[in-house]
Amino acid sequence: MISKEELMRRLPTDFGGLPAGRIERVEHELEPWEKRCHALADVLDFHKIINTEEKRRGVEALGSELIGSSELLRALDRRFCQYSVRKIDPHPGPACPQDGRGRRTPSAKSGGREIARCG
Amino acid sequence: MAADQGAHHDQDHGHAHDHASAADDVVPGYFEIMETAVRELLVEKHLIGPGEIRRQIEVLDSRTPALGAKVVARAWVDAGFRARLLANGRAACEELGISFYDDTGLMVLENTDKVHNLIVCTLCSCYPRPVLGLPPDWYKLKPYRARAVVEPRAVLAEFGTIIPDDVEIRVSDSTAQVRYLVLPERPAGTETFGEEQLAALVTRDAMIGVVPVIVPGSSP
Repeated sequence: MISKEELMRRLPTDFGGLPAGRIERVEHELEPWEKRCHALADVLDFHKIINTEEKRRGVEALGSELIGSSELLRALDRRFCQYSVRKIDPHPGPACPQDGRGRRTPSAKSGGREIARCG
Repeated sequence: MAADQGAHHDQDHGHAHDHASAADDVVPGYFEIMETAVRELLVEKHLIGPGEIRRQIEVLDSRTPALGAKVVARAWVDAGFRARLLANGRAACEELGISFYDDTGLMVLENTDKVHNLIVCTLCSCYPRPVLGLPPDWYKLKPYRARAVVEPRAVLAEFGTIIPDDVEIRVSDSTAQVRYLVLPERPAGTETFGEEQLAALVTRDAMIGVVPVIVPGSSP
């Protein structure tokens, strides 16, 4: 856990110099949707919709605890998508649809706008 | 539900083939649905074209460490190219037909018997993607990003790379605008190797700086 003093001095995405464990040389074959996410990020950059710094700021908004966790890579993709939609459709709308257990249920068919409002 | 499906498939419904059961269907996860929704929304709003993602995937698929290895091998055999590469990495790569699909510059850092270079991105995952492809997971995760800048010798040792104390280690922290590529030392015993043979020796990790280039069968 990063101390409050540390948070005041550094961005939550700035890991440089922090204590950390052994480097596990993990790699994985990208799933098709992950590759599409990378391509989407590039295309949005080409169109000057979202640049690298903006993506980074979106990640910062995740908070230091999640950024430092093993869920970081998935969280990056999630935040990137949320940030993308907010930028193109910034007006807040109704809450996200939820399933019977209270979980958000984005719909591929029509859920884009709904997801945006959850971000 | 399963019983209903079973009953349905027991019926003769006019064509002969196996139906996959519902259990065999791959249900997209939250993030996959999120990606699809965002992409469809962008296309619907005419902010991107429907074919742009596919075309960019083709670009990404065409970027692998083999491109970087080609650059390194050329620098080893062509002193003029090496000088141009060190002066302006991007322009020299473009000489070899490697286009930069983003607005990044490329600085190439040469390893010598006095200096060993290592690249990192402490803030996120900036990486010379046009010449190496996408970065490995460990490059993006906290341990490497945190420790590379403060204890590079220990980090390198975890990759099996022992740098003598009299060799300076320089760690370069990538930015959104400037990416780095390590030009490793050409290994001894490769004087008779052709450019393609040399390129085959150069690995992604050597161009990140975490390992040296070695000739198979030789000691590092």
